Amino acid sequence: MCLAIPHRIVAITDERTCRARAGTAEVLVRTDLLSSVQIGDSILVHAGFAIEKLREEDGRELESLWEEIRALEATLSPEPVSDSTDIPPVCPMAPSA
Amino acid sequence: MPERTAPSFGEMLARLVSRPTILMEVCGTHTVSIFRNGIRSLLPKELTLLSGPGCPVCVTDQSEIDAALSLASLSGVTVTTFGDLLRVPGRDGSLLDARGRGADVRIVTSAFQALETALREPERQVVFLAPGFETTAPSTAAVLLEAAEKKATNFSVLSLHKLVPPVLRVLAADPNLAVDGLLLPGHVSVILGEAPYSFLPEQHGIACAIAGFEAEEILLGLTELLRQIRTNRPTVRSLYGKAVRPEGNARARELMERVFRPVDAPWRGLGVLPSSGLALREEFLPWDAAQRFPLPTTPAQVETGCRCGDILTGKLTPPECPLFDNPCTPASPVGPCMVSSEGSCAAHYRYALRGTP
Repeated sequence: MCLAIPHRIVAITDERTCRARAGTAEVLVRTDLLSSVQIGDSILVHAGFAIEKLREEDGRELESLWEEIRALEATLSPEPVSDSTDIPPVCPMAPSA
Repeated sequence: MPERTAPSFGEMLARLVSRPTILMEVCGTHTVSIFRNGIRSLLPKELTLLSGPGCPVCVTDQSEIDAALSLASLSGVTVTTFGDLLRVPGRDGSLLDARGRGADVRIVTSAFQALETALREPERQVVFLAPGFETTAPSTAAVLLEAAEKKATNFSVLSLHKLVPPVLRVLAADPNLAVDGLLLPGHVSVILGEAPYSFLPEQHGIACAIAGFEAEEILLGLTELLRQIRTNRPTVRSLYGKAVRPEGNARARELMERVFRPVDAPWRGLGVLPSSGLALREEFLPWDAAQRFPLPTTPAQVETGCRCGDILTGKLTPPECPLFDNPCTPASPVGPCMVSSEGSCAAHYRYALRGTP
């Protein structure tokens, strides 16, 4: 029930509503729970309300976690999974190129 | 040097797990995503993944459904709520059954639609049944503020809202449930941030990761939990930074705290848990359906044999419930874990038993 869907704001309707789009669907969304919004903002919508503005991911979070995993792995395995930049990244989520 | 490929998530989890380990996903949306994406098939045998009490519909108590049924039976009253709640059985059937008998029960997708209904139909008393955790409660609060501003005297709310940290406190203290790590709910955490969970690692040594809902995000969360357990350094770590700020959404919490106060609340199968629900503050009592209408006080609980309480706390898996699949199915649910699409029984039935997406 806590499902929330990312939308992009396409119009500000009044001080507490906006129109926002997800794919081809455009809906009226309440913005009471956010301090400010503007056209173009990416928002997370739950039960008709924007509950947060989404930030672009810069990958630092994942990078940091995977560094820690690699460090841990090096202490667990006789042979570390990766110790060279020449081999594929350890992180299964990392881009392949 | 021979070329090596990156390990899969399954391999990574297998390498990190060093002893029998129990993890629990708290959120119903995580439960469904885990089943839908076949994540359980990747887990090493030493790792047990349980589903927790993270579906608000599933934890709505029979007494609350009975109160809703009582409201729906009143002349001139329109009951509005989210679709999932309609099929949850109370003592005398469900809200859907009541609608079949002529009650005015309507589905809304947002609390503001309920208020709009009240403003559009001033001759009706419109009640919004408000289930949900911290993700949903701020929106109910915003609508109550608007109802007060617009003096919508024919609108009221029956708060069924529940709070996640108090139930986690109960689970963490349960000696029969030795959970090593919790995959924390992403969208509850959007509102709460990280601090309200800090008692879990600090007082109970439980690893905690806040994760998003895509398969890779969930796998990453599980990997982080095993990393914390392996290094014996439990903490609360968010891996859902695009949506969750460490401090959460302070404005949403402020609205919620302005309108509601914490109260002891009944949870399906778990009993009354201290300070785990939300009631309207005195200023908003004119919009409290529990004040405006006569409601049943202590309705008798129906003994159905349903083990939802044990399932919600991870003590039983759905197939271990004697009612699972016969007679309890999504088409004819006995308990709420089979009603809600995010209930663990419904997820087991749909994805594990039937094997159909």
